[in-house]
Amino acid sequence: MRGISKVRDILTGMGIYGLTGLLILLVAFPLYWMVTSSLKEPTDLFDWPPHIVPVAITFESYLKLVATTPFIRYFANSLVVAVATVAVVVTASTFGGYALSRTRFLGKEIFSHLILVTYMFPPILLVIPLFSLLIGLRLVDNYLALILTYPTITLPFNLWLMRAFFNTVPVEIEDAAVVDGATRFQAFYKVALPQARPGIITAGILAFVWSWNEFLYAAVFMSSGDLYTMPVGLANMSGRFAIDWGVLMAAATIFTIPALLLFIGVLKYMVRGFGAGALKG
Amino acid sequence: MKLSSEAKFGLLLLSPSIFTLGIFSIYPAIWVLWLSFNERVLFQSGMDFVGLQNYQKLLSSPTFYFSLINTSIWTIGTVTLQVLVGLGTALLLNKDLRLRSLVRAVALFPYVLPIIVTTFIWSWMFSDVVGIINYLLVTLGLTRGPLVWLGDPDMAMIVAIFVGFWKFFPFATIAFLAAIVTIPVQLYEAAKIDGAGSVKQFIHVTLPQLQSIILLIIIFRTIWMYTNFDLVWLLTRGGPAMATHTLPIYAYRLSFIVQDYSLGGTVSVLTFLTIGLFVLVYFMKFRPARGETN
Repeated sequence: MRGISKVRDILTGMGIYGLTGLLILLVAFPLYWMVTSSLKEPTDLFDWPPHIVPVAITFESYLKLVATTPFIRYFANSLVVAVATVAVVVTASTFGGYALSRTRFLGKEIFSHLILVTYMFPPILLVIPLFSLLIGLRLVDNYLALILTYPTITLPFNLWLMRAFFNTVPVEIEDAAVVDGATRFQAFYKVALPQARPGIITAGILAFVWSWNEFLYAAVFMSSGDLYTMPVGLANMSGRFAIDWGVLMAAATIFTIPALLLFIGVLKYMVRGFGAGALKG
Repeated sequence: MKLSSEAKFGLLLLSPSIFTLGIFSIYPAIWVLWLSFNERVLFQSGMDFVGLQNYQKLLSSPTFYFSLINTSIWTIGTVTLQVLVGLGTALLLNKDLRLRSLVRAVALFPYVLPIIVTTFIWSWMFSDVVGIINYLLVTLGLTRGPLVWLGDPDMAMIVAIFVGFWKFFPFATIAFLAAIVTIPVQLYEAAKIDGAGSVKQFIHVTLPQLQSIILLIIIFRTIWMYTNFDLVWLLTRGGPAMATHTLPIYAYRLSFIVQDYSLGGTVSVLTFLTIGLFVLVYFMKFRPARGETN
């Protein structure tokens, strides 16, 4: 009996590591292929059989990307929009989440449910009326078109997330601060806010990643090439240049780096943060 | 009096959210519903009330039903794979693996990988002439010659479902992982004492404990896959031969390529209503415990 169960344990262990290996391969190989394709000699990309390990490493595709496409411009546009979106979302969701967690007033429950409803509105439903609205506000072809509309995607989620975070912060310390003469706002700003830092970071990173990723609004609201964000610029690149895979993989690699860095930063909060909030992706 | 100052404080803190969601989310949603009862040509200011004419036009159009079926296939395919693989990987990543945090980081990475990057990578890997996938399949003798994948109407949807699954399954993994961690160890110990093996433990402890999060994830993923525009569009542009033409793509094409605002708006409203109906029926049937993840 003991021998059989030992064999079974070993087999289970091998099975687990086998599956883990398969999972890593499924996720990591495409990323490996992206990076190596961007570093190969452009002519090597069309060799058959393909070189799993690059025969020579060159930055030719990267140089071509920067020299022949407005890549840096797109990157800067994406960065401006993402940073501003994060600022709006973090401010609104921190303030709002605190109000939902701590204050009591008539209509709060209705508002909480309304947030859940807006959370269900997909971008494809809103893109047409938003375009019309932005034309009316003369905001088409303006960074503000994206900075004002992007928060609607992540704000509902982040409001619930921040509410959940503030719910875990004991209210007694704030009460003590108020007794000591602090105003209500000071108690929020100086006492509660620092304690909710993991929540604020998670909310900010989720907003950044969404903004960094977003394609539909950016494609519709920005018609001038100067204001294209990366996803739109890259999508156009793939159509215009009889598909230069080396250049596209170089662009994809660079564009992935900020998301990768933030992901590493947020990973430790992620499982906990998701346990605390609602979900959207 | 105290209540009133409290209400003022709360509303003040909520005002940025109320402003943003009110103007850029709730107002547009009502407006597009109104638009669907009107006829409006792009850049012309006037709207003509036409009642249900847009709906009648769509409900008698084969393209609408065709897109509805495509959307359903895409949704069922991607959600099923995401939930099954998401559950599997969550169980796997919960085990005491060597380098567990590194393995977790790698496995969850597609979640933040930009969609445009995802579609570039897989288009390149599924490329017909020099794609690595064709090379592997031909070398292993699984296919006789290279497949056309995204150029083949019979294959494009399969590829799209695979890529959609790949991009979004980590979302389910994260959610399931967060739930698995909270299952009390005592439940497993009790099951072990009763002589339950790992399969029985999974069926009698893990699954029932995860039931509400699984039902919730199915709903969320269904809504977001059903209304997904960017991944399919960037991968196939709805082609070839409209094989991956989904409702969101239909709404986009009508509005911004054909420039028939009101008909495009009606498609997007119908997309939202059909998925809303599904969610309603689903909730009435399963009633996942509310606030389970709060």
